[in-house]
Amino acid sequence: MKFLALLYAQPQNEPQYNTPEWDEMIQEFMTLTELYKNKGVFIAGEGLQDASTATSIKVRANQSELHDGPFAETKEQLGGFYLLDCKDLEEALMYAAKIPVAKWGTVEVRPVAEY
Amino acid sequence: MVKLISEQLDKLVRQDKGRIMATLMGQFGDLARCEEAFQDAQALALRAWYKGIPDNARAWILKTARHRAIDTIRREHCFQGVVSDLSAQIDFDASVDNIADIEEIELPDERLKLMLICCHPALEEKTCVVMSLRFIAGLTTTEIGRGFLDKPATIGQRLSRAKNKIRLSGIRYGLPTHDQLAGRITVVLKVIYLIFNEGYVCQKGDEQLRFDLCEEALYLADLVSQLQPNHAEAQGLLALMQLCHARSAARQTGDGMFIPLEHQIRELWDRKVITEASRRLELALTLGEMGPYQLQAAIAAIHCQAPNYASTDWPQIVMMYRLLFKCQANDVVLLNLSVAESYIYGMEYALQKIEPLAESLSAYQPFHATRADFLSKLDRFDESIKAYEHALALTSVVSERRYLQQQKKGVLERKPKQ
Repeated sequence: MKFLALLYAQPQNEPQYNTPEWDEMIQEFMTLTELYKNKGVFIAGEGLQDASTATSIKVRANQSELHDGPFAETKEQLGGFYLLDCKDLEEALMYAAKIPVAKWGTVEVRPVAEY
Repeated sequence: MVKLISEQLDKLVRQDKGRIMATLMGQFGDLARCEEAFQDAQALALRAWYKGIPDNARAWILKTARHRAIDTIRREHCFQGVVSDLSAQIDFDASVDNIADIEEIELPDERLKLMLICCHPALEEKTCVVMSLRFIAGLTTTEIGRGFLDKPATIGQRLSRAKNKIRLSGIRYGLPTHDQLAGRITVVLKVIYLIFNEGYVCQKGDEQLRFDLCEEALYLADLVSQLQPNHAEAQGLLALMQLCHARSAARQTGDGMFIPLEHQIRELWDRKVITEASRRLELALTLGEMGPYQLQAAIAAIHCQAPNYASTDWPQIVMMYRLLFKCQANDVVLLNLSVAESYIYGMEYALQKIEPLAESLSAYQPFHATRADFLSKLDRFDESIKAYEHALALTSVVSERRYLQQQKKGVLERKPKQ
């Protein structure tokens, strides 16, 4: 089964760029991605640019409407994702718990729909 | 005759529902499918058993349910043009008619798996409660609705959302690893205790229609204690609930007023159950895994040992509450500790200890009732009456209201006339 882990956090709770904490976080992410690859669960995973760089688009009556910023106004912002191949939810949650963001934000785990 | 058959069938289903569902789940892994097949089998049984219940009733139901499930899978797969591995494994020749030849079987007990899936941490707590009552205790949605004063349709929606989530979210039907099992059992125990408390608060006479949730919770706790004999807290929880339940006959007057421990007629307590529960608790304590359920059971057991309220071993109860606070640091434990301490160190001391809890427990009825009692014993009548009024405003349970009103009246009568 494929699971998407969505990484949400409030920017002020995250390590700031150019600090030892930031470097440590990056290191943790690299180690984690390596672990996922070794265990054969890694399909994809990326970090995203800051939510202020987001552009939302809607098409209504054949017209595109563009909006600055993310679609939903929530305190926690989407900062990255992993797409993992796991045997069940238990395994997916076990791997998701290792994502550094889980310590200061929220990791939402969703199964990928199969048609 | 039909009525008799349907009564006997109900009884059988009540008794074996968890087992049969768990066995079906092991094979088909989809709650909705298993439930439907099980219900079909019961409907068929009603028609097929017109002469009486067969000896192999349980096997009959199980086999029939299996066939129904396989039939629906086959139909779906025909639709998609796929041949299922599952259907290939199963012998299709055995139709409902020749089930009469099969012998009664011993079902392997798969109920722990069923319980773990009903109480999965990915589900909301209330959903776990409803799932356990439906699939393990075998209550209908109407009965569960009565228990929680909800419409059956609401319960039904909750159940179908849960079944959907289980089916789609990748929750696996099976036992977790040994390391995870203890944590998962903790969730199961919490759910059972929630059911028990729900039933405990609302006693008969108050809400005539309420289903006896205490009995259901006891059934579930007994089941877990059999499945996990070496889980100290599982034993502790069962002992705790048994000790509370053993006193239920004494907890209410004939016309439905709550009676506190202090004024209960102890001859009405069920001594047999108390003895059994105390023995269970002793065994649990030897397992060396102390926890909040065992400590609360120990407190209940100390109360049960005292021949009357005056001879209660308060120092020991205080000690137990202090231990309990160490593993469950919350203000309700502090409140109960203060009540026990009031019998050793006096009302003034206890009152001072609970005052700092006023804010955090402001919406907790027993806080105000306790405070009112302390104040009344200190002859601070006006404050006591006010506190009873606070407590009354916080409960709609008739038996509790009647008790609080009586207490308030007592204080009013004692208050010197000006």
